[in-house]
Amino acid sequence: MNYNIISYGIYLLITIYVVVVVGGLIHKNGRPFLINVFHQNISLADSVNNLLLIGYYLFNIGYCIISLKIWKEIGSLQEVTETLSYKIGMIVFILGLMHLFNVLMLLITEKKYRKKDIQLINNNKNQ
Amino acid sequence: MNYTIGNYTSLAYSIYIPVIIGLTIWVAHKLLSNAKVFYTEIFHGQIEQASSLNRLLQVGFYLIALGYGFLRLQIVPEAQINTTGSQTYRYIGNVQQVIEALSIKVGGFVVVLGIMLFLNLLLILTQRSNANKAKAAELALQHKMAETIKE
Repeated sequence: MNYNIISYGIYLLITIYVVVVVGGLIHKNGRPFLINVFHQNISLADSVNNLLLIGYYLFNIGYCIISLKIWKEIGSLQEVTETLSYKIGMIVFILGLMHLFNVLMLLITEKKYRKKDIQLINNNKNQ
Repeated sequence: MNYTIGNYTSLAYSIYIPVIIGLTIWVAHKLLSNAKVFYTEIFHGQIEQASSLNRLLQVGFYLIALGYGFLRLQIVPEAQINTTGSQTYRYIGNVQQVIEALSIKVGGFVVVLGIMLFLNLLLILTQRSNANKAKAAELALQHKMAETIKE
C-alpha cells in the first residue's frame, strides 16, 4: 500500500463527508425560501428541494471521484499533507463559490416574485 | 522528495492549520451573532427565514474561508542552483524561516477573511435598504387603498 492509495481513501472520506453535511444544511435552510417562492405550496416546494439535493449530491460526488484521475505521485507523509490539503481545499472552495452563487440567485428570484406580487395587487386595484 | 535534517516544514504546517481553523470559526461566529439583528429587521420578524438566510451565508463563509486556507497551505521550497550547476531545493531549516514563511501565509489568509467580512456586511446593508424600500411601497399602497375605500 503506497502513499497514493492512503491519500485517495482520506480524500474520498473527507470530501464526501463535507458534501453530505453541507447538502443537509442547505436542504434544511433553503426550504423556507422555496416555500415562499412557490406561494406556500409546501408539497411542490419540498419535492423541488429533494430533487435539487439529489442533483447536488450526484454532481459534487461525481466531480470528487473524477478528480482522482489527475493526482501526481506521492512519496512522503509531508507530500500527503500538501496534496490532500490542496485537493480538499479546491473542492471546498468550489463548493463555497457555487453555494454563494445559489444564495444570490435565491435572493434575486425572491425579490422578483415580491415585485410581481405588488404589481398584481396594483393591477387588481386599478380595474 | 527526501527529508533533509532539520526540515521545519511540518512544524509550519502544524501551526498554520489550527490557526486558520480557529480564526475562521471565530469570525464566522461573530458574523452570525451580529447579523441576526439585521436579518430579523429585514424579514420583518419572520424569524425562521431570517435565521435560515443567516445560516446559509455562514455555511458559504466557512466553505470559502477554509477552502482558500487549505488551498494555499503548501510552502514551496526555494530552488537554488549550486556552483556545480546542479539544482537543489532549500527547505525551511530553522525557526526564523518558519516565522517568515508563516507570516506570508497567515497574513494573506487574514486579509482575505477581512475582505469577505466586508462583502458580507455590504450584502446585509443592501438587503436592508431594499427591504426598507419594499416596506415603504407597501405602506403607500395600503394608504392608497384605505383612501379609495373611504371614497
